[in-house]
Amino acid sequence: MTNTNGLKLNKKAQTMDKGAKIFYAILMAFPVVQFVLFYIVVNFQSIGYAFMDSVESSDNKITWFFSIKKITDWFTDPYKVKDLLDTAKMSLLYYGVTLCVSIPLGLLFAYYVFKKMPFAGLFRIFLFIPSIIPAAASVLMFKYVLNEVTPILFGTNALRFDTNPLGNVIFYNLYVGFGTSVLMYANKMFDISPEVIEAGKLDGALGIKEFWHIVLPLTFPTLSVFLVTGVATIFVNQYNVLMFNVSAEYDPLGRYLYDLAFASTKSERNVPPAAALGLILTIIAIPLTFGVKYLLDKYGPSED
Amino acid sequence: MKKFLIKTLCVLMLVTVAFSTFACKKDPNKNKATLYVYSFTSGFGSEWLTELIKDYEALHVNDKVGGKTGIHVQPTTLNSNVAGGEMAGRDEVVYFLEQQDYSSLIAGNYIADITDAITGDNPYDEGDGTLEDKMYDDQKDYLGRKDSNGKVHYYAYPHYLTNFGIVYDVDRFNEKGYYLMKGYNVANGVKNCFLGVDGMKNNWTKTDGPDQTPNTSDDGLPTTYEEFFMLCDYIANTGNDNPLIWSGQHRYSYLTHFINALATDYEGYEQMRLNFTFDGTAENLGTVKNGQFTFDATDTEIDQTNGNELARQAGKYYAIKFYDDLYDQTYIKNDANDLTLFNSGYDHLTAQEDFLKRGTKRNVMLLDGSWWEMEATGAFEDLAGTNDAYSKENKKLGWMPLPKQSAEKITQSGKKQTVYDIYYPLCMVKNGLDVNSWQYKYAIDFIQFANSQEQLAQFTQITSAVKSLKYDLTSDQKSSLTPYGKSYYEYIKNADIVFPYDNNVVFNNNQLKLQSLSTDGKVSPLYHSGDKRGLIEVIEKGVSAETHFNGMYTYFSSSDIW
Repeated sequence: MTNTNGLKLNKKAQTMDKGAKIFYAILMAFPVVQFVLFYIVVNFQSIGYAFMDSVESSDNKITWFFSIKKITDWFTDPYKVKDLLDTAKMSLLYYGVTLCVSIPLGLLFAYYVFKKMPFAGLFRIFLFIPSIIPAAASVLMFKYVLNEVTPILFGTNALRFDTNPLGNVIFYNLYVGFGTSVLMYANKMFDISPEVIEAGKLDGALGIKEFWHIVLPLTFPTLSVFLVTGVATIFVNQYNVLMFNVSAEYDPLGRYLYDLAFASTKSERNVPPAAALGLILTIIAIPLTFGVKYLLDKYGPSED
Repeated sequence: MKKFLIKTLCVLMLVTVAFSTFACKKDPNKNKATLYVYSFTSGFGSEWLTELIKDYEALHVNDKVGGKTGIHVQPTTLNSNVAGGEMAGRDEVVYFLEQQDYSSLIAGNYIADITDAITGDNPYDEGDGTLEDKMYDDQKDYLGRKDSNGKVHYYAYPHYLTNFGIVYDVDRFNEKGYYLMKGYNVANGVKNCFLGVDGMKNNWTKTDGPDQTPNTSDDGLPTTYEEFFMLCDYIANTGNDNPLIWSGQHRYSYLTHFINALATDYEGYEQMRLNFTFDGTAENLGTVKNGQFTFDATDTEIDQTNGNELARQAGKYYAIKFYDDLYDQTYIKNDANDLTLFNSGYDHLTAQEDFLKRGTKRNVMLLDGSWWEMEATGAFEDLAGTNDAYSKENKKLGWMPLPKQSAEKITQSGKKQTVYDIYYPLCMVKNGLDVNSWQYKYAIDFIQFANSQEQLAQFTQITSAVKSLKYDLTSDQKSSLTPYGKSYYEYIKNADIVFPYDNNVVFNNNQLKLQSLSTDGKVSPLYHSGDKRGLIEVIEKGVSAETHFNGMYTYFSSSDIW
């Protein structure tokens, strides 16, 4: 056996190489098995359900048969179409706010931390805490503070949760997601070589110029991951509306899917509509995600 | 110092470990055969199950089972249901669950045939009675499934009754005279239609109340929607109390249940059952224009092709209109109620506690379900801790008969009330057990014991609610009920029950659309207009009762159910 440089390996090295391969195989087996089980197997059945329907006869026998009705229903049933459009609109709103507010603000704050400005470390901890507290507890606390504490503190009901549920849900999601993104961006910024920054300074890249021409392009791979994965979450993210128990008019697609999936736990016969919608959304999400990735790769700032 | 601290910590840890090791008592059930039972546990609590198990274990303490002596019943009490597919992998054999798709559970082979328990003589009851004898006809028709030979098989048995309504503070009503005066005249003003404090002192005569019989517990209570609004008005403006309270957090589901309770009571048993049987004559259909309901000139024969017509039932419209009108009242829409009735953080337990609390301004009527008293146990105990008059046993509360839409309706439906079983709970045994195994035999036996006369009475005594079965309490058992429990028991004894199921092809094929509440309880299928916000929220958002009602018909007419 030869190594990559064409040199002959001794027996010990060959054994080590074999051991490394076994180790590598075992290491890779876990994600592969996970992918097979939780993606291919699970979705294989789900895809099947999308093309099925069932009837119960008078003697209580359930017969399953091939049908595309559960798929076409999502395009023809006016009530289903309305539900889809309403929830899609909300999903886009939540995603849009994240895209336009959370990401730029997260980047700027990460830069603030990166530049080690006053209290940067403290902010980093405080911002990260909400994302490690279970959502059920933090939602409860958030609502409690708005409903019970703000009227006492400010002597007005204007800040109570029910006064502006949509605004409060959006604010909560921004606040909770903020810590994670700041941490990720800041960690990437800390990887930037000080020599690069120094060289930039010599070329006159200071302040916002430094951020725009040096830090942002070098942080872009991390930002790109956020942007690409964010597209996929449009279709599944519930934005915590379930826990806030807000009006159904603020439900995003993820919450709507949850309801459909929950109904399917009652009876297998309720699975096909959920499976059909899941399939439709997947068909939309895949090209959209790859499209965004392609655009970011092509037009995004390069590290070079 | 550091060494001392380390040593102290080590000693403390050793003591803790030793204490927890030796303090453990020997498991008294170690040598008993264990039967696992799962109970969906919410408002009704688990005390009824604990007492049931205690009695059952005592009865079987000497049974020899597989080399062991005695039966130990191990309960799992969680506020969630178990899906049929999960049962096979669980230890529990007997299940008490709510809102189950019975047909699918049978078709999926998830639940066992328990006909033996239901049609066989119940050894725990005197005489030759069976559990089947205690079932209502609708339950027998739905739960009993015929095989190809015509033999009936049961796979589940009814559990408790879950209906919704009004609980009122009898003590406060007596104190402030919130009772309509016989021969009242509205022209004299609402203030002069009620007994008030003076009337109570002077024993002035009350109206005959919903049962139209003098000298009964419902004397002076409102009989019509109009009288109910007068009562609320009087309580708010003359009595200076708060007429109604409910959980703001659960208002979408609770108020939908309340509207459905009113509609069911209006329509009565026969008409409301059409929503599930799709077989019979609909007598109350009509249309609404400019807020005016006009009955159809002729009755409509309902079959499995035109169930959508039932979305035009008068009772549904009048009930929605009732809430629409109520919502507009000052005592409902005032700022204070933003913190209670319409506050998404104001939960049911707080509402119950606020209803029970003493204060200058009291909440005198609570909208809640039949489970409420058990659910409010903590509030009762807290309040009784400082004053025994607030205990369940002493506090005088009552279940108020629902008012009818009009005086004419009282004549039509008589004194009878009709209630709706919201969550249709069932008791089942998981499939896959050998019918000769001790687990199966004891599961059957446990179900028979749980539904013996003595245990049914005990359930009512503990929860102040009833099982969805035909049974009576002895006078001794009745006298042991709380004042509220007596009131509720008497109410139910005089009521017809609408169970939201039927064994027909249309219903079984569309159970989700016809019976199941949405996951958040906001959307009840009977009031679905295609708006996923649900009935209560659209009214809060300014949609009129008429618009919603007409939307229901449009929605059901475009459905592929028919």
